[in-house]
Amino acid sequence: MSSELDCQVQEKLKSLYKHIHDIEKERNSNENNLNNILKTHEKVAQEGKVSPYYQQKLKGMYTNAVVTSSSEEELIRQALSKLYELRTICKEKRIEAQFAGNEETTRRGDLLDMIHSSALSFPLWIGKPGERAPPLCGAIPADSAYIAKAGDWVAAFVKGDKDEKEIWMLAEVIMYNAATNKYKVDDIDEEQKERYVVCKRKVVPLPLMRANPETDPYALFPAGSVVMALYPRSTCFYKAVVKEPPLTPTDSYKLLFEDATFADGYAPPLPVPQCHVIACKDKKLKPTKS
Amino acid sequence: MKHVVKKGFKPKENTRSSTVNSAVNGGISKIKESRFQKSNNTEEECVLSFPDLRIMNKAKLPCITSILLRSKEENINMTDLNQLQEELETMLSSVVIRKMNLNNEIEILNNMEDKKGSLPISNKTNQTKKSEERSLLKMNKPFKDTRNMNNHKNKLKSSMACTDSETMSDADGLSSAIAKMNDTANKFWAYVEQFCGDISTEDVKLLKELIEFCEKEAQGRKVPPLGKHYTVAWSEEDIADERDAGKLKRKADGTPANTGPTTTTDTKEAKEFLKKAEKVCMKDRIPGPLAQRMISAVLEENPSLSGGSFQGNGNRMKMNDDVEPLSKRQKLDMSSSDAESKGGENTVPNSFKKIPLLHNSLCFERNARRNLELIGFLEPPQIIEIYKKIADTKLKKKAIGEKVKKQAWKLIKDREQLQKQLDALAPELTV
Repeated sequence: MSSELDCQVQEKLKSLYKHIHDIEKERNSNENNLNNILKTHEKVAQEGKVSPYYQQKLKGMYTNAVVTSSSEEELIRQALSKLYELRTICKEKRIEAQFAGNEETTRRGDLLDMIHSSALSFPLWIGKPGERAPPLCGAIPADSAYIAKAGDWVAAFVKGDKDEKEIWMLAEVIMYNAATNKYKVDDIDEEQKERYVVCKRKVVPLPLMRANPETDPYALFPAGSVVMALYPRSTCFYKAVVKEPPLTPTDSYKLLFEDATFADGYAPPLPVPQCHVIACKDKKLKPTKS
Repeated sequence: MKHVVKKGFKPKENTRSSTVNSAVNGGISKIKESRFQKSNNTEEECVLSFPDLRIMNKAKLPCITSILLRSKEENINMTDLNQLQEELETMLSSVVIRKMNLNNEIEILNNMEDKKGSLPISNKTNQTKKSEERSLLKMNKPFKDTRNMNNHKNKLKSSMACTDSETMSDADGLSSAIAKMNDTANKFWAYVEQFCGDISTEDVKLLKELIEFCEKEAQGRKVPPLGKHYTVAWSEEDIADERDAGKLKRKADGTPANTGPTTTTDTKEAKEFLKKAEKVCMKDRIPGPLAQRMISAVLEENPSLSGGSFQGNGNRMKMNDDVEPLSKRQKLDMSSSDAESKGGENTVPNSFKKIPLLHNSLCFERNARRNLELIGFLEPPQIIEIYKKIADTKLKKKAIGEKVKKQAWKLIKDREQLQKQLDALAPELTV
């Protein structure tokens, strides 16, 4: 099975390599068009107005550039889909190993790094013109009827081991029982090695896609909003206030975590990836970092 | 989930969090507005923005560049995936934005084709990307600042329309709930904005353009002065027309236009006209009684206005006013010669300076008499005394004393001397 997956991975990598070359070709041809447009812009700027001749010329050039840009966009999308497929294959591989019980144990430090990097590897949602960001993209929550799939990461409100205080922790969905409306989740922290059965109400699926601030800023938590976020280098969610939302697709939120040890009640701003930030839940379920 | 999110955005127990949430809501609406401003702004203003359409620099794509340099055998490693994904996503984002900008520009051009004419150029090059960033940066500001986001009336209206439509189309609970909450505030700010919004540079520009346009139009409407040809040619034509008209009239009256010398009836008429004109002129020259009264009243009130036009310096008098007739002056002399002066030194009082003002002879005389009386020139007490003594002695039928006679003769001689002096002055006055 694993060898089959490896083959698939190799194939995907090859096709990705081909796609990148295709993109480069398209980019080069597009660059000429765009340079011509820029030159025309300069000429028009010198004239001070867009004469009917330049109107027609620009319109033709723009239309041509839209066509070439569309094909470039299509190629990039194909390449990205290949890349996401690769990621899914890797995830399947990991789940398979998990079920087989031969999952390699990782150190806590590596685990935390992996959690952070995986958040950044979530696909970026870039819709076509007029297309709205779907649920579980950035700040847009999941539909009420949405059921998280096995292997998905969620924030689960569970009781701690020693003290009976409930906390929001990062967990992985094992399964969902539709009859009881409860999730079976696994603590992401391997050291705990505990499984919890949590009712659906106390489970919040993490975003599956990142929102693009350049095209869909509405799908981000704006500054000042109260959120729940995974504290950096930890597996627990805490209440925080957004100081600054991400400005680029690769940016993280800058969050002010509630912390009673600070005079103003908030810790200095910390970067948290988009996929580790969720909307603040019911007031009864709000935890604060002690 | 929807329910939960709603609750999360409407905390009741915590005032701080509620204020924060209001900021959240404001922020979200701001983001929405800014997003739609980007698309609608350019359309409404109908101005090409000339966005930055440059292709992404390869320096920003190190992973892709390195992969391109690799051979087929080397292929892509799994370790490259993270970086590759990041770069591909950035590329895709830039391409999508470029396409959006291009489509916006095409739409503007299409709109302007209907109107026809040359398009103005906005100096907002690369505005879309920058405005987007700016809008995001502005999100840190408090909710009230949302009104600053929309300076332009139209912009705001469009953005409002968009937000409204958005709220209607929102499928997810979060955005619809937030949009509903913000709806009232947005409506309020949208309504208030047009009355108390800040005057932006765009507004000023628009006004300046309007003024310039109006001025240009006004300049076009101005009729320039007539050229040399038309002024000369037309005046000649006018004169010719008048002549023709005169000829036609004469013909109609039965008199030939050029019948040589004028007839006797014509000369008579002309003489009559001249007489009438002379009378009119005379009337104009000599003011009527009412006018004289008015002038005298005015002049009496303002003696200082006379200035130095007439000066009495010792026994000499200079008269600049030639209008004063000689007979009137003689009358003045006669009236003054009736009385004896006290001494030869005070022959001309200062009040004579007023003379030039007194254009009216009656007025002049009256004034002169009054002034002479005031200084005792006309009826000096010595003369009156002697006159009384002589009268008394005559009544008593007694002989007049030698002393009295001498005094009387002396006074008479003085007066005669004054008379002579005034007579001597008379030729000067007439000059």
